[in-house]
Amino acid sequence: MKKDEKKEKKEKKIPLGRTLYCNFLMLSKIWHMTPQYIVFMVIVGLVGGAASSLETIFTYMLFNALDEPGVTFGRMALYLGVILGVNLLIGLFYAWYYEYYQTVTDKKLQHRMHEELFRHALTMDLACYDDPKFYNDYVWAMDESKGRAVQVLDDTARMINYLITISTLITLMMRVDVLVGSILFVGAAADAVLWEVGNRFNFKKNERTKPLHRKNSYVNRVYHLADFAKELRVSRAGENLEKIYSDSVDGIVEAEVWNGKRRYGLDLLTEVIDEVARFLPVVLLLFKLYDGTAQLGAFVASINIIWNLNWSMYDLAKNLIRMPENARYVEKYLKFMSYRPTILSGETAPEPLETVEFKNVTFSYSPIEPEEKEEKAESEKEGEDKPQSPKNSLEDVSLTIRRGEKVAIVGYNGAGKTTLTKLLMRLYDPTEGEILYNGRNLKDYDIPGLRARIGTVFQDYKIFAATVAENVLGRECADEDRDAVTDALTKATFADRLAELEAGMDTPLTKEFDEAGVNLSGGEAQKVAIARIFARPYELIVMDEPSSALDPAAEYELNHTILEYARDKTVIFISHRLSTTRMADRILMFAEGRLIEEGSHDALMRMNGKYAEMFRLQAEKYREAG
Amino acid sequence: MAFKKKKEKEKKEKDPNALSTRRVLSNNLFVLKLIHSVAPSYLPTYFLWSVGNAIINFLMNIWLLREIVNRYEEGRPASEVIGMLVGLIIGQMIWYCLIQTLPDIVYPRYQQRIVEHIQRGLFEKASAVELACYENPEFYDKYVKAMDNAYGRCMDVVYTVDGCIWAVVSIVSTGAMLFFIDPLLVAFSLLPLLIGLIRNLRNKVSKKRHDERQKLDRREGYVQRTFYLNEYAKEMRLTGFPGLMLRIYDKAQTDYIALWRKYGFKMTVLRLFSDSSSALTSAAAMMYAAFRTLVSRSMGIGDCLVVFNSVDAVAWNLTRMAEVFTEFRDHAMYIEDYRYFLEYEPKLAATPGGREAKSGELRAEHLTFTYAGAEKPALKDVSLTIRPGEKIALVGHNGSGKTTLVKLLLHLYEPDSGAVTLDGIPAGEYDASSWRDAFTTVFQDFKMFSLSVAENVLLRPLKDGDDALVTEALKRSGAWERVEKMKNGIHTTLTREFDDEGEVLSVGEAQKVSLARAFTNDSPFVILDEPSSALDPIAEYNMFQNMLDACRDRTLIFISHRLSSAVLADRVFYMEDGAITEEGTHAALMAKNGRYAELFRMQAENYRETEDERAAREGGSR
Repeated sequence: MKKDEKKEKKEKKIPLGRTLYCNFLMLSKIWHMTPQYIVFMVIVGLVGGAASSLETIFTYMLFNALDEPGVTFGRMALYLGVILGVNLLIGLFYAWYYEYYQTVTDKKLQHRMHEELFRHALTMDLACYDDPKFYNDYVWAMDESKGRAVQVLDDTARMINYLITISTLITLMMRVDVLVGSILFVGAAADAVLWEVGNRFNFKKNERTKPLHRKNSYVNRVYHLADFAKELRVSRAGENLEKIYSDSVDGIVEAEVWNGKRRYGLDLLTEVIDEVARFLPVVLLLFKLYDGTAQLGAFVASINIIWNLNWSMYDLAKNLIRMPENARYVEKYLKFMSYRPTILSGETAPEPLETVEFKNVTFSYSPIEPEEKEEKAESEKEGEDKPQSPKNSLEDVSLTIRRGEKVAIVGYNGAGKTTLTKLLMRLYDPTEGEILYNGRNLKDYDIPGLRARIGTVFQDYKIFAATVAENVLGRECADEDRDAVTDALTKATFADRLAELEAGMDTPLTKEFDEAGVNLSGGEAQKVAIARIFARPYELIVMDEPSSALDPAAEYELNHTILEYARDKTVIFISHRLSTTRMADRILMFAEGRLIEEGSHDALMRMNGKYAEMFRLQAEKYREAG
Repeated sequence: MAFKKKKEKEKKEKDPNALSTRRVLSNNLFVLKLIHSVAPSYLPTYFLWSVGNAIINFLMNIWLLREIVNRYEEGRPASEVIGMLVGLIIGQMIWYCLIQTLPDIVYPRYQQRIVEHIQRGLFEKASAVELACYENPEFYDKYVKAMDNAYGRCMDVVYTVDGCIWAVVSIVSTGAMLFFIDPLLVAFSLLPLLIGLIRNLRNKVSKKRHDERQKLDRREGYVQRTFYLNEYAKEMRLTGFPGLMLRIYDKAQTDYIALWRKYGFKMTVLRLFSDSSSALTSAAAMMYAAFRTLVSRSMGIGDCLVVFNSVDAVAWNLTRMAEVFTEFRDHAMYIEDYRYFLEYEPKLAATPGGREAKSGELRAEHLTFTYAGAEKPALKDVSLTIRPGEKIALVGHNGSGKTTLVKLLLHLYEPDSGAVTLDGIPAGEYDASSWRDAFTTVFQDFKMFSLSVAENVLLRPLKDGDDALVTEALKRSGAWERVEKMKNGIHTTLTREFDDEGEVLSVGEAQKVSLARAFTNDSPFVILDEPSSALDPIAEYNMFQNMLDACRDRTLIFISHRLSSAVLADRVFYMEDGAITEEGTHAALMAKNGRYAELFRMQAENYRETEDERAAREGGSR
């Protein structure tokens, strides 16, 4: 727990230099994607700063002019005209920039950034998803990517604007009265320091309330997700959740009040400094007025500058608050973009499959973040609350599958069956041992080439928001594909349902962006997923519990069809229902990551080991009654 | 109530965004009342704070300057002017010392109480509405919006009122001062009001643009999800789907840009008009003052300076006022969803404090039920009687209506026609919470909550003596081996939602934990929907034995598509297309040789032993 806190702090506290550097990195990124955007950002900043400086200078001249005995209305009108003109021009520029230019350019930028992010995401090892911390950062970077780049741009433009304005104002004031100018400068500096202290206070508080807010948003989510609706109605779980909710509200109140008390003193101090920095100059100017060294117009003009300076400082502070936040985003974004996958494609194009061999393969899911390896080593050294060493999902597995074989992998939940598939597809690489494809290490082969030869239906397959045909093909459906799609769907026993669909294979699935979209039932969806492997010329087909959502009749029908259509292919069935795997040429029985029995159904039954025991247990109830 | 709803619906259909001015006010008032009822001192102090701040702002930034200028021109001594200045500053600081305690120390408490009140109200309602609401996209959409926005919007109402007060005080005070100098000056300040109209137009255009982009947002969001969600990761790597998704994404981007272009010019012009309004007014007023000072010489330099200095403030505050109503309208729209949800009357018949549900004869009488938006009814005229203590198996193909029937028995939906009765009395006449407690249910798509293991088993607050109960139940459901190894045993939090040390269970393990619930109480009815779908055969077998044992005197209804378990039931109901087509004991149904028997044989076939195997087995056991 303590360690966690330390870690968070480390991650959250970004020094000013780093903050600026991160913002700079983001800008250079944008420069590469849409250089015109950066150019305009600088222009917006400069023009904004110049406009407000001009306005201040002319207002100053305007007020001063009133002191001159022979001032004409014409001169005043000229000053006023310039101020108005500057205002209107800048208004026109802003209106065009923000309402037209920015909206469009922003989209272009976002488009390019996202495409890069997406493509990069695909290269990530699947193991990254197992590491909650990496994954959370990644999701956050994705979520935030939408607005952050623009935020960095806008903030930089504003920064340029305010800095120009503030320096103009202070310079102007220095020329009028060095003492007043210095007071303003010191006041501004003191404000900045106090502001940073206040930030630290808030940071501490947020650290306390963050986990509580997380709890609250969880409870909120439970209540609004349809997934939980039934449970909440048939049980009293709501009472538990509400308890969590009110407890964390209490915690938040406590933290807020605790912080408020500390803040209170700080706020008072800030207030005193602010007022002194604001009114001490007024008093000094008053003396000058009474001395006769300044006239009324000059007096009001100076006060006007002080007021304006106050506003600009306030704006600048608001802007500064966002910069560390931006930097934090950029850090995560860069970390993600600099991630390099460990599963690398080989160069050899795979030849047609002859054999696949697992040689003493051991594997454990151990998510390691590339950049945090050091930290990990550190914490391991500390030895305290070290997470229990992850159990190997596969332990010294050796097996060979030859072309044309129908192999079943069976075993209880958690026996390592699915892991085997994931290794074969190179979603992960073995921790120890090697996998040989036609006698050569799998790592030597080109990954896309391998994946074009090996097709998998996972237990947790997904249906995409696309048409039926596209869901089967995994790409756009051209006219010449249509027969193949119909054929694949028929083989997957989806033909009857297909006939019912109004737009046939062009029916959009899910209601994600089409109200007319069709939501398939679990069993139907599974068939569509299975059709995927029939639509492509795979040589090896892996069925990972493909029939778990199907009812017995459908399961029976499907298994037979698959076998029939896949007669010349190599098929691996994974299941814990032994009735579905009985027809396999060879059955591999797994337990706790090890291959414990291997042989045909008959042979394994004769062996009377674990497989036979499991089979009998499942069969027993049918036999008694049958 | 029904009438009101209908009327509301009609209005909605005409223009979903148009709310009458009265409704806008009523919605905003509703929020203020709500806040006031939770934290009675919040609003009065808050508004006192805003009035005070606005007055101080006027005094220090506008009035003060005029006083100084006037007194100087009147030839008052410097000490008097400086004394006044210092007095004001001290006064301001005292005010600040006192008032700053509110936002720093007092308000956090109020604000959290208000969130809590609002959210709890929503939770309560969410658990009361019938399940069908979750399937009605329009309702669900409103509900999610209400959940997401309620608190934020309520606070926004307060902020808008605050801004309103500030603007009014500033306008009145500064306006009065300007009026004092020259009544005509006030006329200049009114000019921006016209601009308010342009602003309104601009908001309408921007709203239209926003509505048009929502469809695109949805597409974009979806594609983004497919790239980063874990559940899509495997397929995105192994197939060509990324290309398909990118195509959708590219199309959305092109559409976006076309949309921005379409509205770009209009928005630019409108923004230009509304933004330059205050610059124009200020310039005009200043020009007028300069004219009076320098040409007609009817205004002193001091007053002229004051005009120069304060005319901006009035213009700015007037523009702000023009925005206020738009803001209120905007809030009202969100609050409308919130109110709609709060005022929604659940359609589920319920009798608070009604009869207490106990063990008895559970009957479904001619139940017909259609899911919202579905064409065909999910249940057609289903009748059945379950006697106390019976073990019932509901079997049939996917989509035959088994789960729907169970949901109706649980009174989660109101049937289109027919009724669910217990001992002859309709479910609606029982007290809802006692009906709920009478059933222990484990759904097929059971969920683990981010609670401790024990709480996940019981799904109610823990009491003394629960530890032993839960441990025993977990042992019987087969989950104990896993739980025993956890760091905090049955008090370990599940899921990593907000506990980084939380345990994540596999589907099979989670199912065992869910099933344990049935062993912790002796509710008269136990309903298991596909209880063993994720269990391996040994676990399944043990679980069923234990379950039958635990339910010896209770009514057990289980759904399964593995017919091997149906053999254990006293009676089997075979469902097809939303109707019960066969009914009886396993033996009777096998003898009848109908659809059930056909299905059973099909499943059993693969398990039938060959002679060799039997010999081997017998040989082995010898």
